[in-house]
Amino acid sequence: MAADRVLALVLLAGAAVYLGILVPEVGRAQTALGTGDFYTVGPTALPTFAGAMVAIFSIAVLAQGRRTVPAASFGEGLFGGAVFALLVAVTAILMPRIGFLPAATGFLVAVFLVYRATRWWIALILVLALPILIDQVLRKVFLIPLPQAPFF
Amino acid sequence: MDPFTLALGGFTEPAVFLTLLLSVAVGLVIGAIPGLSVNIAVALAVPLTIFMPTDQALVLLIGLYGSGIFGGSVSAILLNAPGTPASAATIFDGFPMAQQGLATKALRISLIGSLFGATFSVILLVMVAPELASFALSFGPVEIASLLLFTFFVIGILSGASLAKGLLSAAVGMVLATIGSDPMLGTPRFTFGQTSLMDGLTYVPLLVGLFALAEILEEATRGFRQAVGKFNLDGEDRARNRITGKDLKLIAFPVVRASAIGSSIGILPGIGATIASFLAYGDAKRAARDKSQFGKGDVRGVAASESANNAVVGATFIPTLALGIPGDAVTAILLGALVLQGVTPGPLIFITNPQVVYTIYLALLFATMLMAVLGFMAIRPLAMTLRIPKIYLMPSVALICIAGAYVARNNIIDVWVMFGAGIMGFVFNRTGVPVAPLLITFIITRPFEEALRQALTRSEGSFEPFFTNPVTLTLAAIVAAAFALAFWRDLKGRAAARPDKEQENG
Repeated sequence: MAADRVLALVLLAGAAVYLGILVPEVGRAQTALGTGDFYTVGPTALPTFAGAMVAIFSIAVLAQGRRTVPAASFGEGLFGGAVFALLVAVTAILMPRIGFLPAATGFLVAVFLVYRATRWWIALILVLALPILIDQVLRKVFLIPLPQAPFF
Repeated sequence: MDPFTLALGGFTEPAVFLTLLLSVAVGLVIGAIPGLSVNIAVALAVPLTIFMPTDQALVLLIGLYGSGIFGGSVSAILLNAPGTPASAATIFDGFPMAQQGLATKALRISLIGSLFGATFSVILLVMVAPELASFALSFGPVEIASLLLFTFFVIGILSGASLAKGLLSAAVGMVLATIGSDPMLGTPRFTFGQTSLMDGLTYVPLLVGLFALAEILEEATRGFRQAVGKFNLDGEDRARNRITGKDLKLIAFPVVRASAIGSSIGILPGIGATIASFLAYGDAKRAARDKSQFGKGDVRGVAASESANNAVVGATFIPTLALGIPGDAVTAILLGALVLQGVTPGPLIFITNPQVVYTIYLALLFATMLMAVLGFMAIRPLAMTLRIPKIYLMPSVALICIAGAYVARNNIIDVWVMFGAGIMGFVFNRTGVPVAPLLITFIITRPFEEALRQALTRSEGSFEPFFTNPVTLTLAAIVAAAFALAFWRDLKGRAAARPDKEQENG
């Protein structure tokens, strides 16, 4: 089955859960809060409309006989993308625990190793300088602190 | 002091001027590098604007937007790979010119076309936006709700190759916008007990994920190519690369037509610069007496494509400023940035924040002028940026994405929103579902719900005002016509695809 149809199926299932479970839950919360009598259209109206739109257009995509051919087939190089996504996810997990600098440094080292950066000196400069540069620009110029390492 | 003088005075401040200079330079570089589009540049800059004064924030984003599209033509001409999708049509004649030793000439023609297109659209913006806004000032909740629903359908219908996929993307954007407390009663919706979700999904991580991370993931699937494109500008004959009066005469008419096409496309929400440049290229070829050189290195092809995609820039601000409806993905990002600054785009902006409007006009104009100066002087250094291998560039951008998503609210949940949006953007890109309708609908859903519920509260739940309002009926007729046209286009495309399929099977 073409990837766009799989996506449409997933979104259709999502719309079913959204309309069947999540939207009624909002309705129940509204009743419990005792609000909404004044307004003729409650907080579930738009979600119902939006969910229905997702369901209708998912079915439309499923029903489409013709495939609009994207540049690459869905599975092409997917492993490389998945590995990179995993590295981003690990960085997001580690960032609040060990701080931005170690997490970012680890991220760059891992990416350069996994994807085999050939010029080691460029990689080294980036690993050492880029996390500090981002951290300092945000901290000093924009006064935004990124998570700090507990041991620094 | 009047608002225009105040806005103009803002540009004499060193911080604002330097921001403009820097953003135009960075926009040119990012636009030039294939894989880093204008959308990515603007998306990555938004987290920084939260902490800037409004005029500086606008100058930063507009500088990137204005120059980034021209930057895209550099790699299109030199490497046969467009830096931004909007420059795809420039390849047809730009790359053949480069192969004939005329790369510098092609880049200069592209710059002249870009300059004309951008200036044309800024003039149009200054003339049309206030008129449209004064008309829209009479709009009540019924008209506003109708207009926003119209936008939902139009961007869905016009933005992609497939009618259903465009509308599906828009519908997903609407669903995502329903997360958070509802705008009238404050009832929590789909927050799952998370207080950080009460304000809804923050748009900064969403757009960083959809545009930047999704593109980086795409590059990761290709293993971050370490090879760089080969080109040589040093061996070119300077005399052959000079722009002559004959060249200017040749491109004058196509450039005016292309600018008009680009501006018309820019006003319509959701279509964007890519389609504009292809349409203008086709038009220039059709209108030419001698078509024999098109596709082999005709200056008219380069000029038409580049004028059209730059003419979109100013024109997309017309619906954004006058109606609060983003013309394309970048103006959707800009619209969100304005909201973060406490400025609500829409007809009232001309009355409540005229200085912001003038700052936008002037930023577009100054960015165009600076783009021309920097672009002309720095064609060779700009070409050198194409030698940066992706393996070093993309992970660095990914790190900026992570930091940018986090700083939006100093909340790690936003990094996860960015991550999820990145995966979604990647899947959408791979399945041919356009991403821009999702972002635009995400931004317009909240004002749509407010207007709809205000209108229905006023009419005590009756939809009658919607069926008797002339604005609503006109918009409904336009949507119906656009839908019918798109449906017919889809059917035609399907019929054309069938014999090929049968041939493949047979």
